[in-house]
Amino acid sequence: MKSQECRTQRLAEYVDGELSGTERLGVSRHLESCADCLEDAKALRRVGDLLRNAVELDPTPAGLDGLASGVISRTVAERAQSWKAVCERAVEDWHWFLVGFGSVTAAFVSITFVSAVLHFGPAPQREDSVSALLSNRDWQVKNSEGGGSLYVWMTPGGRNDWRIMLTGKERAEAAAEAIAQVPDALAGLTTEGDLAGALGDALNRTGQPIDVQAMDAGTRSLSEALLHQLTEINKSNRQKELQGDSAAGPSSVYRMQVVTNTEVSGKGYQ
Amino acid sequence: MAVEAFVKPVRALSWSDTASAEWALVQQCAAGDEDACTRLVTDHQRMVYQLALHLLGDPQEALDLSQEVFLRVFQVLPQFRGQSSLRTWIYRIVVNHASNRQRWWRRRHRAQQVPLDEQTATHGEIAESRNFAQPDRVLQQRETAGLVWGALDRLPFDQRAVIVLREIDGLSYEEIATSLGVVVGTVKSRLARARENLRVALRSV
Repeated sequence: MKSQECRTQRLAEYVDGELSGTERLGVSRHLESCADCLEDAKALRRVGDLLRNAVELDPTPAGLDGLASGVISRTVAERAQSWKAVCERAVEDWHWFLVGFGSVTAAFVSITFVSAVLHFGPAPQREDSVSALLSNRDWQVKNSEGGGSLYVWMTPGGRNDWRIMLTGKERAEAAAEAIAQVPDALAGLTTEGDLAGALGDALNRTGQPIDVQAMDAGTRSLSEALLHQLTEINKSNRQKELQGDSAAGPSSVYRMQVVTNTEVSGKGYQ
Repeated sequence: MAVEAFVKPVRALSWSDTASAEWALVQQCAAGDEDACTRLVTDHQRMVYQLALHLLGDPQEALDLSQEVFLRVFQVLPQFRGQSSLRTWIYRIVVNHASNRQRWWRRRHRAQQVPLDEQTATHGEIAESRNFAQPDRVLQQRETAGLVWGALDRLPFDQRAVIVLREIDGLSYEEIATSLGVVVGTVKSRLARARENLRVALRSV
């Protein structure tokens, strides 16, 4: 063996059983003839023996009996506090809230979708008076004060030309009330052409649209009544047509349109 | 000349059997099986406590540390990949925690020589005979144990850890290196210094 340090290290490995079989044999044979090394080996072993003898006096503490249960309880408690456990518990505790919130959200989305469809989608046809058409969401009347005109295009006698028949912001009188006020003027007007002609005369005397606000009460009532009658005829013709009545002719009123100061929107009426 | 050959006692165990049983236990614990966790604690609690006691020198501290160690074991058990034995892996946790605790403890309390009576009371609680004339052998054992623990307590923590793991727990150099997170060469040098220091300190024993 070389230096003292190497020798001591080698002996320590021998004492600790860390040498291979061949190496152990070599050291063992050396110890047979070297008193110094043998003494050192004994000293090394003695330190270990002293430690092991001292350990034997260590009592087993009573607290060790409850160690397992204490550790397990605390581990379970800590696991319950883990993020995953907290989230799972939150879902469990709040699942009714989540269900309700989801339902409200779904309802909101549905309502929004339906509203969008109604707003942007095709409007249903309404076969009734202009006053009813005004209330139809199909019409877009942006101005509410001082603007807004109602134009009625008609083709009396089936011609394709048109005339502006009527202007007005809104229909102030109900059709029935209007008819009740001008019964004499309606007398004798039975056909669609008669009604359209009378309406044209009443509203378009100068070739320009007459603002309904500037009309006198009588003319306004007449206009409303005539418009209502035309609407009814048109409705009747359409019903007959649907029922297959070959005698029913097409309606002369082929389009009714509301025009505002800023926007025009139309609707086919045939 | 008669040669006293030192034979390192080893248990005859099949490594594959031990490893697979250990691995199964680890898997069960990681899955949250409380019975498996209890079994793991009871299988290793004495070992953990003894090591903690030998490193810290105080039974209550050792008990606290033992609980701390097992809590940590269950926290990081999913990370155990079987690179070492479970025992070695747990030893590493014990040494780390003991080192941290001791650093904290030393900062708060001055390192002082523990009186022999206190050492004896801590490590050598042999039931006292009401007869004041105690057997010499028992008294000597207590005195020796006190000196040994005093000498051990005065060792630097690193040296104390290696000598305890080697001489008391019987770990190999490789296992000690794994437990301490150092290389085998470091284990050998620390062991040599620890033994030399103890040899000098226990010269009179």
